[in-house]
Amino acid sequence: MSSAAGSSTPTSIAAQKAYDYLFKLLLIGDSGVGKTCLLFRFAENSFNPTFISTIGIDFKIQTVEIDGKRIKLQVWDTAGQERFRTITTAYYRGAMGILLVYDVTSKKTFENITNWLKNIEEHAAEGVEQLLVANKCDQEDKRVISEEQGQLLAVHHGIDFIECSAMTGENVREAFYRMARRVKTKHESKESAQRADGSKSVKILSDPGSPLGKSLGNCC
Amino acid sequence: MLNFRGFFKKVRSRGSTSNASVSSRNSTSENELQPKEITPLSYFQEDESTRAWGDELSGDLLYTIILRRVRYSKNSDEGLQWETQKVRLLKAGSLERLVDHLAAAFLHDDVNFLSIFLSTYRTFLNPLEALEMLILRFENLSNEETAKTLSNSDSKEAYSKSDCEAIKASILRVLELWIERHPEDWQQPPKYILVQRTLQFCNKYKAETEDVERKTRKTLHDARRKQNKNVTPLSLLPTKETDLDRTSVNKDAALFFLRHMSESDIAKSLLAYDVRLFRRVIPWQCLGSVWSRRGTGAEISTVKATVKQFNHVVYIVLATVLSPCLSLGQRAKIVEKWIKVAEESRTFKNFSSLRAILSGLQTHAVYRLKKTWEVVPENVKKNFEKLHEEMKSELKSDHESSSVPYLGTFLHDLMMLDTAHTDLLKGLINFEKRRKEFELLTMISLLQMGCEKHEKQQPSQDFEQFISLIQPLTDEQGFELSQMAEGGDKTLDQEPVKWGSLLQHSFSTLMDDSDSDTISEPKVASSALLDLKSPRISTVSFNNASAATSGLASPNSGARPSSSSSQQNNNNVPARAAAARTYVIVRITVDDPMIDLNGVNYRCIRVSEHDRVKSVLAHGLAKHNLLHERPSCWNLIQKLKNRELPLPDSTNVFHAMDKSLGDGQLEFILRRKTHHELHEAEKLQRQKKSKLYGTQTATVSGMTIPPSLLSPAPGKAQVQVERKESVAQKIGSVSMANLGKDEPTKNGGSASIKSKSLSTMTSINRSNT
Repeated sequence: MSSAAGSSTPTSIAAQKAYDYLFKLLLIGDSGVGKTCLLFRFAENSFNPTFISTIGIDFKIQTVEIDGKRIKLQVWDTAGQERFRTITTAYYRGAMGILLVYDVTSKKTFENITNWLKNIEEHAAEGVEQLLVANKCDQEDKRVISEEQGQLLAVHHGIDFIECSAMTGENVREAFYRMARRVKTKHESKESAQRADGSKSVKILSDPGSPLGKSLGNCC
Repeated sequence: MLNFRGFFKKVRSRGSTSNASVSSRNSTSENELQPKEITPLSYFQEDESTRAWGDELSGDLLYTIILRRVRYSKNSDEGLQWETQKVRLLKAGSLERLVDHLAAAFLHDDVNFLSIFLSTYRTFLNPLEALEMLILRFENLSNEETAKTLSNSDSKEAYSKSDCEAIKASILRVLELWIERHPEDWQQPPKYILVQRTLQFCNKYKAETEDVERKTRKTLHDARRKQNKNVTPLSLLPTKETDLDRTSVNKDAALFFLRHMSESDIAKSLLAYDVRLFRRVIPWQCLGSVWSRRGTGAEISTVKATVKQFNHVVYIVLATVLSPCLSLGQRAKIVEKWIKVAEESRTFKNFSSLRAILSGLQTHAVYRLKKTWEVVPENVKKNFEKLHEEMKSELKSDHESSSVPYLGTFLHDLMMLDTAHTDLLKGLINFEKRRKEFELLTMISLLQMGCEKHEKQQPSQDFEQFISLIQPLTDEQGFELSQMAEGGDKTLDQEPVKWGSLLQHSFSTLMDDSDSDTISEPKVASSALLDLKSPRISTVSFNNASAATSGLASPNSGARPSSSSSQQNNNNVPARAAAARTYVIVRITVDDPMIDLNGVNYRCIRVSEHDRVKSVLAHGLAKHNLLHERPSCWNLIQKLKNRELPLPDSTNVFHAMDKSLGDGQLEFILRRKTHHELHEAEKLQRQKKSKLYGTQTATVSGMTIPPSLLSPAPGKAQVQVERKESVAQKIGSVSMANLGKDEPTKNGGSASIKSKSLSTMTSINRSNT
């Protein structure tokens, strides 16, 4: 798991496996916004009903196909640990996409997006793809954050935005696919840039700021 | 569960069987040959000896039928070695039937059902509702008329009188068990609703309820006693207010930490706190649906307390490592010491503080201190990495007794469980889910029992003294202090790539605009830009191909006090992001014999690119609580090694100061102006004003545009002059409010920049008319 998670060269692993790319994605947001619900909804097919609780499950895997490429998405979820200050450099390491989730029925979770953005800004690698996800859009009667507000915040921060409902499944697949597509595009353009300019290394995908030289794996 | 055994020995009249053993899952011992209704503690798992047969609905109870091959022990009849047993496993049930089942479970020694129910019922029922349901059942059975209507759900036969009595007795035992095992439900001040209700009930059925009443009164008594001696965790979380200067005391704390405390002492003290808090955790508060519920948080207080402690340890690590005024060697020693404390914590199996320390060392503010980490010995760094690796597999291998776990792992798993399974199955409460959750809760309980031996551990006096000294940091403070400790210029030397990619973070500047609580500068700083003499800079700006940054990087513009760039008006977001990341943290002391500063030597403020003397003075005075003082009556003087550098009133502090001393060494003095100086300043001001009006330039929203800037620079195109004049005419018609809104912090600019901003004004003017 650490070899996959800490990998900065997804293609080299892909050569041996049945997929073309492996992307690490993170779900970030306050507790109770439904991050885990989204994850389960998305990874439903791979979900085993005789699911045995293993202490310390960190992520779920779901393979998707985009433009003929098989992409293995490794989705990490901070569920239950949002209040601990464990979401540091190590957690973000190697992450290529971050889904920032809030709950349209809770103003606080929306307001906290700014704080999560700061956390990302501080700890995540530069240029990580981000998507603002408004969850529970099925609960119109309880909604306190309008779609426009979400859209506005996303535009303000220059990131993409989507409303979805883990409950009904609306747009859930779309959210992950959109993220996967963006990461893929970015990754491929980087790859071709590297091919053109052979002198540059792939290093930009990994954490450039590790003072220990060697990259620590992921925690949480 | 283990704790129930003693209880059952006491209250049961029938022979005891040890079916409550936690490890009974899948074992083929004789213990398995128990009555069919026994609820296995673990949820069903298919393997070679067991397989699912199907579901069976009985009344409002849904069972899973399991066929289990049971092997008889060797000394039994040789002819029969195996037998297939049909086991019913309660899978789901209606609320009423589940509550009814409590008494039935008691009658059938189904301890596990009771344990699971009492540990998890709060996910579908509140305590008072549960109590009312039990009481109602009891009352119905007591009343001959209503009792007739009750029947056994399996046989559909009405209860006999003796059945009724047996069930009633069981209900009372269930109540006793509940009070004993979950006092937290009962000890709820100020009203003690459950206690009141139970006493009322006991009063009605005096003869039968003596034991229940006694237990109820006892729990009330205990609760009142407990209230008087509250246990509190370390509670030094940073306050919201950013008061960077108070962190100056942290140097003393950090040095005390470094010199006077042993690693083992610190680790033991942390263990003392962690054990006490962990043992107080009420397991059901960790349940996913309870923990993620939004609300006052009263119902998750014990879990919250451990989180608070955890975060506090993170903050202490930050505060010590990032204390101002430490030498590089000292800082590295502190990092090293924390790693050693982490190792000690590992030895004590205190995974909570272990993880907190590692998290603290991995926060960006600490992790980015390259120079510091370079000084930390290699073997210590290796240990740090090793601990980190271990941490990932922590609970998988270390669920041993006497360890204090990182509770987050359990919370995470319980959240996953909660999400993975639905609350209802065919409209019935999914009890299978509760059973799964209970397995994790049991692990928590076992660990709590396991670390009992550490309960007596006390934090040392040294540690408590250290804690009382230290001032925890907020994220912002942490980052600023990190910048002071090691500025970005060296980082740049090592990572030209990183700087280049900084520009891609288009939202970084915008981000801060939306949060009024924090200082209006982005945290990804680049004091790299501050060092204008650095030969690297030209490379950087070349890489960025950003006109704005290269303008800044040119030594000439740096020397001019008015070189602040025009990015504020510019909607080119990446350029804004780059340009706004320019500030330094400086120390401000007040040199005035008349003012008593209560022992505060200095305060820290941030000076950004646009700050002029007046605003720095105002900020500095405010920080020293000298709010009544007028900034214009004070001088700002930079303290250099052998001399003082006074900054004239109109100067841009950021560009005028001598930055050769480096980050963390920039010190300024506030000194009251002499009468003569005040007089001179006034005179100058008057002259300036008349001059300004003479050249027809306006003072827009309090921003003075120095006339020198408006005269065209030699060599610059004549266009500018024309534009200046045309705009100057228009300025009068431009709404002041509009200008203020669009250019809140503009303090002037160089000639070329000026023209840009003026053209912006023009466009505003157009859109207005």
